[in-house]
Amino acid sequence: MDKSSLTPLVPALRRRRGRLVRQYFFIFITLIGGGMIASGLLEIYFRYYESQEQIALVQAEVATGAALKIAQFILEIEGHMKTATLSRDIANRGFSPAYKFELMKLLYTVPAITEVRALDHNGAVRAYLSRFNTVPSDAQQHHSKSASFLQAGQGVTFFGPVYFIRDSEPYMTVAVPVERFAGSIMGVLQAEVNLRYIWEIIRDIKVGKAGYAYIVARSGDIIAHPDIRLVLQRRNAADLDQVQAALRPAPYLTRPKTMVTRDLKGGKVLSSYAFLPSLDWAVIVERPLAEAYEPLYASMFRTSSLLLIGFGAALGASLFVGRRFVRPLETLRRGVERIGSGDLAHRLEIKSGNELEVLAEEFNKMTAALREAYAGLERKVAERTQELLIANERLKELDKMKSYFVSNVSHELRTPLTAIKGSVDNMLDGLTGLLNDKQVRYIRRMKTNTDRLARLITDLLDLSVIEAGRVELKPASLPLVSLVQEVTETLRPVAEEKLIRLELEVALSDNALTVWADRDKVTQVLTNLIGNALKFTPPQGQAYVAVHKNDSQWVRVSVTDAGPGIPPEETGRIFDAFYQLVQAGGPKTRGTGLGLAIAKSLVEMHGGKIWVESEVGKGSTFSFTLPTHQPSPAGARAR
Amino acid sequence: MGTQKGGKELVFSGRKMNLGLGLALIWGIVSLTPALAAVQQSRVHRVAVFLVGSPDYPTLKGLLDGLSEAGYIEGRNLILEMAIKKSYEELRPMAQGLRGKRPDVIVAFGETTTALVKEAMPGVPIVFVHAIDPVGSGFIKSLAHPQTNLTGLMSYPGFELQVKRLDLFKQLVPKLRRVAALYNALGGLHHTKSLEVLRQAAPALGLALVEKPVKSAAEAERAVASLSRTTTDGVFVVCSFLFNAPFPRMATLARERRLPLMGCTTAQVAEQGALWTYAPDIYRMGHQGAWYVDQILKGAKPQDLPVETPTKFDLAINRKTAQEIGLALPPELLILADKVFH
Repeated sequence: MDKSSLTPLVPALRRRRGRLVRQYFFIFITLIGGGMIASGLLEIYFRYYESQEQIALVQAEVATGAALKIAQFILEIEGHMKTATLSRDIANRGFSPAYKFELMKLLYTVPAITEVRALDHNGAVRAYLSRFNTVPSDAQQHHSKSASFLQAGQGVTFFGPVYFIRDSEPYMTVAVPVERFAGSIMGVLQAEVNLRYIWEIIRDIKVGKAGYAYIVARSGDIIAHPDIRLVLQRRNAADLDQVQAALRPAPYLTRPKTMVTRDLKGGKVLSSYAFLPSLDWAVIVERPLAEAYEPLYASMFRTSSLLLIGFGAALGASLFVGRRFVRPLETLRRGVERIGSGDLAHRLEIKSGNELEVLAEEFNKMTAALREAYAGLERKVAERTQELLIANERLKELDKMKSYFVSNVSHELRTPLTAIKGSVDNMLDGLTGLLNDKQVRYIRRMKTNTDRLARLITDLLDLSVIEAGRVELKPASLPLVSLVQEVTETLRPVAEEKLIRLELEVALSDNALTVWADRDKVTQVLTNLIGNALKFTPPQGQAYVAVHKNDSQWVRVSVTDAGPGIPPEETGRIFDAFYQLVQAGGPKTRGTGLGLAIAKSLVEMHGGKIWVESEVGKGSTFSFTLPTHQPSPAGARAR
Repeated sequence: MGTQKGGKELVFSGRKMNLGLGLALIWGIVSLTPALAAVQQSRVHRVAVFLVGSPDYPTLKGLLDGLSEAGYIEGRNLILEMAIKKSYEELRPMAQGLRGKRPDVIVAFGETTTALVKEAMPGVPIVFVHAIDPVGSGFIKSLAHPQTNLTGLMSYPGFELQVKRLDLFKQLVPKLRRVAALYNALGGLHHTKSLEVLRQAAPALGLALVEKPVKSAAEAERAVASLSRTTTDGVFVVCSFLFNAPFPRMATLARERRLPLMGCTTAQVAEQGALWTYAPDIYRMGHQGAWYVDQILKGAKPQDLPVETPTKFDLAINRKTAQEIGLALPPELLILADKVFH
């Protein structure tokens, strides 16, 4: 294959190869990677929601647990208060000064109670004990209208709304009925409970590392928080979403819920809550979202990592498989390319173990057969070439021998002929005495034939010299027109003899034309061509010679006759040696048949060209070209 | 030829490549695990402590323990400027002397000391411990939101506690009629107010209050020494740091005179021989004071730290002292006393 035609093919092949790898690759990725990604994403998706639910559930449990603890704390206080109402003194004597001891016991047992008062059935304070005071600030006041008194008087424990002392400490009133015996209510025991003590419970509720619980009252005021400052500062959390949700008056909301919201500082938290209906409080459990979802994110990271590893492995595998399939194809392509460019010795080595290997083997067999065929062919060509070379050598030798022979024979022939010619001339000149007419006629015929024979021998000699390559040109710059004129004038007597008008046509501008040629040889060519023209032009006909400047390098000389013309099939052979035109019915022209062959050789020796244009019945024009200047070493081709 | 080798190499290198790729991926993921680096702040904090009394005062111990528990170690990240003197007169020049050192936080024990330090070093965050009426004294605007550079802990919720104590004294010593009330005559408005509340409550409790103004430790001792069972049934103390230093002597004098003496701290009952006290856990208060210091050192503003008030008071009784002075304690109080020392 030609290299230039192969080159543009290579990128096209590469492109095709690239496409094949890509195709393998994409099929692999689509089948394996796609499946993996789809299953991985689904896994992550479901795990995300399940884990989220799980985390929410756990935190909701914590909220419920916290709520239970708080409720237990308050119920314990209530229990202690109820115990304090069970006194023999009350049963026998009603509220007496001795009952104060029960109140002291209550304060001793329950640190959260700062103040306790026993009210009789009219709501009057019958006994009072405080950690800080001796006399109640409301000593003169009757409690008969207070909500706590009214509710506890009905036998139902009263849990009052949260209030703040000195606008800082959260307190709550708890009131229990005082019964002489079951069903016989004789008064109310009312305690002020400092809710700061819930702090100790709330503080110990931990959710993860940073999770915490706090309690808000109906008003939204924080009544317990691990950060006691928030309580003492009387921070209100009513505007938090989780607080609003927790306090929303709907019975089904007693079930704990979990939501993602913001805490008091604005951070994102996972928040769950539990509502305490008896106290009208809500326990909120919050955990920073990042921490709460940490295991979730870790799990997702793990799954993603595994997915990534799997995907990477699939990528590697697909690349490997793709390349494994394409590599032998590439080897095949390169091999075929090499074989195509002529390297038949190349063998395709593919060990893929599949059809490709078989294909390569078949290809190798084919190449081997081709190589053998080529080898046989080449051997034969070499043999024939050798034979031809030998034959050619022999032919050249023979040709040389022929030329030598001809040259020798011609020379040998000319010597006796010169003697005959001299004798004939002497006889015609009358040196041998007077001749009668018959003798003159015979001797004249002898002279004519002797001349012809001499001319024939000269021509033969010339041709043999030319063919033997022994002619040497002596070129010089010649004035062509004057030379043509000279030759024309030499032959004019012959023309006049046949009453032929012989003319020379030269353009005025071409008068000074010169050619680089051998004068004698050009003269010979011109003599030959003009002689021929006169020979074939019938009497009283016209013949002319024209000189043209072809271009800056070549000059053309044409000789036109009014002869019978040459049939087209013969114009090719007319310059062959010994060829003579056979003219039907015409007089047999006399000549050696060597003139045109010699003229052709001479013109071509000058680098020129000779040719004929002819039409049967109209005459012929023989033209030849000569160079105007000494040709450059590169050589210019004749026009 | 080369192609065959290439093919085989490809097979092997392909396996290697896959294994290598997998290992590289695993390694990459493992090395991605973020390393946690805790950057410890190694700034040295300067805390000044002002106290009239002695270095073994429980609140001070609580403060120092609290600070060390919070990670403050003297000499490493904490410089403690301890100003502990027997009297306010000695403390005042120390406060002025410390002005140039510009402490990060000042801890002042007692209301009088707080006022003194606040005047000497305005603008420096102050944590007061044992304040009685911080709003009335102009230290803070409100308990929940101080709104000044002061915050801390109150000794008790209100002046009524003085009456409560007087009432308890009456219950402990049922024959109590004439009570000598020792008070810091140099103290601020809060002492006057305490006295006023006591004056008003005494008649209702059937008590006659004999006021004993005291201006110095020596005077406090002299005041107790001047009393006798013939004129006085008991000695009440309007607690002030002024009485810290002379208290052991005061207690001895009282016992010698078989006079029931009220103490201001549980330690004074347990170790120094006062008959009784009704006081909060002052060690815990000091510990809580350290929490305030820590918060402020960590960047919290005093105005954002609400003032805490003790909600529980312990009744402590020394039975040995009671026996020494020939006092029969009422069984109810003994039963319900939080601490009884023998």
